[in-house]
Amino acid sequence: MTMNPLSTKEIIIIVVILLSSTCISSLASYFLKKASPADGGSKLKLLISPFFYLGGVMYVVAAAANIYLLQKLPYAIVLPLGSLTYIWTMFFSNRLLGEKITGRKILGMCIIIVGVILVAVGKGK
Amino acid sequence: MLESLKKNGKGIILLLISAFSLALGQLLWKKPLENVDIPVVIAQGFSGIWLLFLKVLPGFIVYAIGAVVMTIGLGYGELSVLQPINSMSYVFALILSAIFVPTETISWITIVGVFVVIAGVIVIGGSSKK
Repeated sequence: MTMNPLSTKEIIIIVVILLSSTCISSLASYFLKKASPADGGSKLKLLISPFFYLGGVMYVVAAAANIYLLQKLPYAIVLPLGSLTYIWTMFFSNRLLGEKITGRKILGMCIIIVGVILVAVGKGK
Repeated sequence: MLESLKKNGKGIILLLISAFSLALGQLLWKKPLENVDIPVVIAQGFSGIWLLFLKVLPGFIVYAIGAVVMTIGLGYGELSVLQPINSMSYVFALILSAIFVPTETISWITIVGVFVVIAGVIVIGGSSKK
């Protein structure tokens, strides 16, 4: 598949879509966590939680943005950039849920990102 | 590390199941679409679109189950520990494609990447102290 060189305007659009789609994907998991029923009672209560459907719709939006990005950039670049989601999650889980950002979490996240880059590079060959 | 496994253990297992569903769902709906000519399907009208829908349906059902399992899993433990486990879907996708699409060659760089992802998930999975 050949891709045309990108104009400055296209690059700005791509960066904005990339940042917002990874942010949306991360917030989607935050809402799914909110939809998760507390201990006790039926777990299937999540099916009546509006947060479950909000999170689901946000995942679909993020997936659609990903399909758009794949038309503009090669797979080997889009896949690792999707790892921005983990950085957003670290941020939101600290801000919205008060979870601690530990050195070990950051280390694990960095290792995962390196792994995803390798997977993508290998597949792009 | 044991402390974290106790606290996040159920969540980690459920998130692993959901990552597997994600990989399986993707395989189930992408494969039937590979040889589909969309204009031809549209020209067939309702029956063509219905048939296409039935082809991708199993994949979407698996996706939906994965979403439910993930939601339950996120209730057990920290989001910053559990959400990155989604990255295991790359690992499962590779294993599934090696089993069901043996003609696809897998580069050694990808295999190294898979082990690095697993290592990262282990580091993060054992990371919570509270």
